[in-house]
Amino acid sequence: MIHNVLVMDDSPVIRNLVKRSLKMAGFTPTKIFEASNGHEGLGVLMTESVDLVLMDLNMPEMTGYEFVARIDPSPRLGGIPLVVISTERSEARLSELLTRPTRKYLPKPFTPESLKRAIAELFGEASGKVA
Amino acid sequence: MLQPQSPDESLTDVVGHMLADGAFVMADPDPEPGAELPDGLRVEVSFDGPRRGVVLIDAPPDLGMEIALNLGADEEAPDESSAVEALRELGNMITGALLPRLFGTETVFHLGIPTPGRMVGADEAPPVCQHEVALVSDEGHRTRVRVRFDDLSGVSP
Repeated sequence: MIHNVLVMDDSPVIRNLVKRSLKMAGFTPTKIFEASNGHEGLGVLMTESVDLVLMDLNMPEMTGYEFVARIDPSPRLGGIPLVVISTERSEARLSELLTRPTRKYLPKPFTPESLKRAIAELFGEASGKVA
Repeated sequence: MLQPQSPDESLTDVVGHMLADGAFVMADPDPEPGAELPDGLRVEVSFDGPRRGVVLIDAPPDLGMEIALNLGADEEAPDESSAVEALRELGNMITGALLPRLFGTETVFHLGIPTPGRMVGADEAPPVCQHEVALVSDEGHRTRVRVRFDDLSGVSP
């Protein structure tokens, strides 16, 4: 089950869009935390139990790349399922991030359906545990 | 056999696609591409990689507000800060999609954080850019997207 979700994007408009898309895709997490950069996101992960991270890459102060580099060494934080929602198209740069099977990439612009598919692939559609 | 697109054609395609699919705004080529835009918002997204430059988006606040509403801004009547955020995101999406279209997905570009500002006044010279597209939305909002390469040499798009 997805109880707690962290939505990380420097744009409040996009954070709202992601939250709305989650709802439209049929997900009803208990709590949705928000962060406007990787630094704030790290703070949430340190203090809260998070089941899924939905994050942008191009953010001020700490980018998504830097965020992933910081959580990677930690067995607990590095293993949290993570969907990168980004305009990044460079295969070389994306391959640096998608080093674990618990990570997916969703190109912007995205739809509630494509978000649902990405999350379902992460959590195992057949398990019926995604929503 | 498909003919390769020119940079201007790629820019037009990407901007139209991002407006439609990323911002839910339908737009067509501006029948008066040289028409002067009223003072409005400008978002700049810098990029660095095989080429270095900036993508500039000029648009009226009303287009930003329309996009903000389409993206689900909380407010029934979004203010200018929501409009700016919406245009920043549009700039991010356009730049992120355009560069691999011009240079291939194996190239690595670093994008800057989209920077909002105001368009220059009518008495100031417009920025010199190598590529430009002028579109007008169904609601009649004019927008210009320009690409400026700041390095004198490098990989050709």
